Amino acid sequence: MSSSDLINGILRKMGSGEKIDPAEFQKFVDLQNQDLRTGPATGSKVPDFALEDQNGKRWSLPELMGPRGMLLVFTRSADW
Amino acid sequence: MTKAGLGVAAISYDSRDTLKRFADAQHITYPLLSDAGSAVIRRFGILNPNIPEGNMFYGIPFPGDYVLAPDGTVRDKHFLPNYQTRPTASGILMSDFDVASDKATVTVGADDVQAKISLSSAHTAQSLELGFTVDITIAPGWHIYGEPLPSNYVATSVKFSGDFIAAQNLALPPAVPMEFKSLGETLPVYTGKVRGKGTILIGLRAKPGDYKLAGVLKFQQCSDAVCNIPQQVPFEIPLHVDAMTPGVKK
Repeated sequence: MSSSDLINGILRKMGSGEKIDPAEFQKFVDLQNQDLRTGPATGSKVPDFALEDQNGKRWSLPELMGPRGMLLVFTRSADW
Repeated sequence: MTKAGLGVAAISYDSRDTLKRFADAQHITYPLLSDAGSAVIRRFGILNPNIPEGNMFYGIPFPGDYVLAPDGTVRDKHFLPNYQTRPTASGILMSDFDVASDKATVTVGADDVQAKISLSSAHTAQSLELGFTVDITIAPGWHIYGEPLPSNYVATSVKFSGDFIAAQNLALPPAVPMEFKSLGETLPVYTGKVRGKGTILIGLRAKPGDYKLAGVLKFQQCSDAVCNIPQQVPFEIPLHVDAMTPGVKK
């Protein structure tokens, strides 16, 4: 099975609530974590953006910033 | 976070509707930003390329977080190779901004040494990493030991025990070498005040409920003239393990 078939298979099972074999799940975790990328380096600036929040309010980076800085979190999904 | 003067926001590839439902269900008031199409995730360079294009999960980032200075510079970032465990907001506040929980703190002592041990939060859940700090005060005229140390002395340490702790570590500052002429030895010591910082990873065996997190502070106090017997001071800190909250269904 190719790695993309395995990932697709597990994601389908996760979506449908089907049982997943722990060994298969571990393989999936490993595959999904290949070539970890962590973005802007410590000491460098992150790119600005303008995105809408859950209430439709648009935010840029400076608008989100607190007086001492901020925590910017990237999550996979709120949905699963 | 806000009280500490910090902004907080989370970005995901979810639609605004999904984020709205999630925020309502979880009572989240900070901005959950919708990056549908993953343009910002791509601009940050953290798109997960392992998800095949065309799959409904295509577009997710490698999950992690950035601690940013007010000018947008990255102070610190946390991207763990295993997304099943993650640092807590409180742990980050503690390690990067010295903000501690006032509820999960205990002060213990023996001889002329006092230690205040604080968890970053009195609440946690499975697979989360809590921060903790140890503030040790040593009375004038006395010292305690750091590492590396000959085996006839006891180095300073704090260890938590319990089934549900999957991993822990504590970093103390480098100890200062002190020469003891009468013994012909130079040993690493701490005097005055010392602050150590560590993390505790809560394992998957942690069932929801109220716990007393047990630990032991070890040290040996000496002066230029005498050494006291090594001390092992047990302590307990209240900790509540929350049930994991599931994601919202479509």
